[in-house]
Amino acid sequence: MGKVLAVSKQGVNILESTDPKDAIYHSDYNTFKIIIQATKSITLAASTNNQSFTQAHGLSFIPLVTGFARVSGENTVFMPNQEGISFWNSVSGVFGNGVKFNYIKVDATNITFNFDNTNGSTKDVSIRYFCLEAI
Amino acid sequence: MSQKIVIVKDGFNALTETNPKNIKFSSDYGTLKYLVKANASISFNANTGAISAKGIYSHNLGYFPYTEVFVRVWIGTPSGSYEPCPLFGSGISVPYNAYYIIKENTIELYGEITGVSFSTWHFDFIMFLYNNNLHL
Repeated sequence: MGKVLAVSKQGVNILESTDPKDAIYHSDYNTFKIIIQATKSITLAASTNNQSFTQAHGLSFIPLVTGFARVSGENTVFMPNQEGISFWNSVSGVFGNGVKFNYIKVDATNITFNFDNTNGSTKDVSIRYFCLEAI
Repeated sequence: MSQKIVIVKDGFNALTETNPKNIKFSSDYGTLKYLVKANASISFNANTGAISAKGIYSHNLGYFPYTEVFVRVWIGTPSGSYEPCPLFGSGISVPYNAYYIIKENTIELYGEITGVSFSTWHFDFIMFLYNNNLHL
């Protein structure tokens, strides 16, 4: 058995436990490393779908990227593949805010963020993104 | 040179390795700090005219936390697999959607259908919340 570095939850003997849930950290397991975390501010054109914005990541590998978006003046954050939500009721359903975060795409050079904006006005959006690992 | 902790994969030298892909842990990089796993279920009876349900999970952190959500959708008896949320799925004739939004003290969960149904729909969510502040 090789040497390990482990930090257990309170009340757990990490020398005996084999359940990863018992470990706060365990060197047998890989971790997502946050290589980059940053915020990108964009302005969506009014009444325009399929708007792409690129950000160079500057890494020597293609990273795994996750991201979250917030429309300026709104107190909610949402993920790719979803529109922000402005209203709901059980009979009418979910009503979006007109800003849809379509996807995040990444290649060897750039991260691309794609949005729809069906509002009749421009929308300022902040995107928080994380480069977590090499794909 | 400052001191640091580095744990590499087997076969790599912790003193010289710089490729994050070969490193299990390095104090040069931040990590996601896992806070809590939480479950929440919402449902609605489409036979009453409802097409949607909403649930709220309170985290009370006072900021927007990094969050991952998975959901399974079922009718009748609990079944099916958890899939990443937001989810857009479809049964034989009824499409369904599951969403979530993050607020400073809550996670709001939504499930809805977009076709004609007379069944009771259930949306089971699993949330993984991290202490990491999105700073948005």
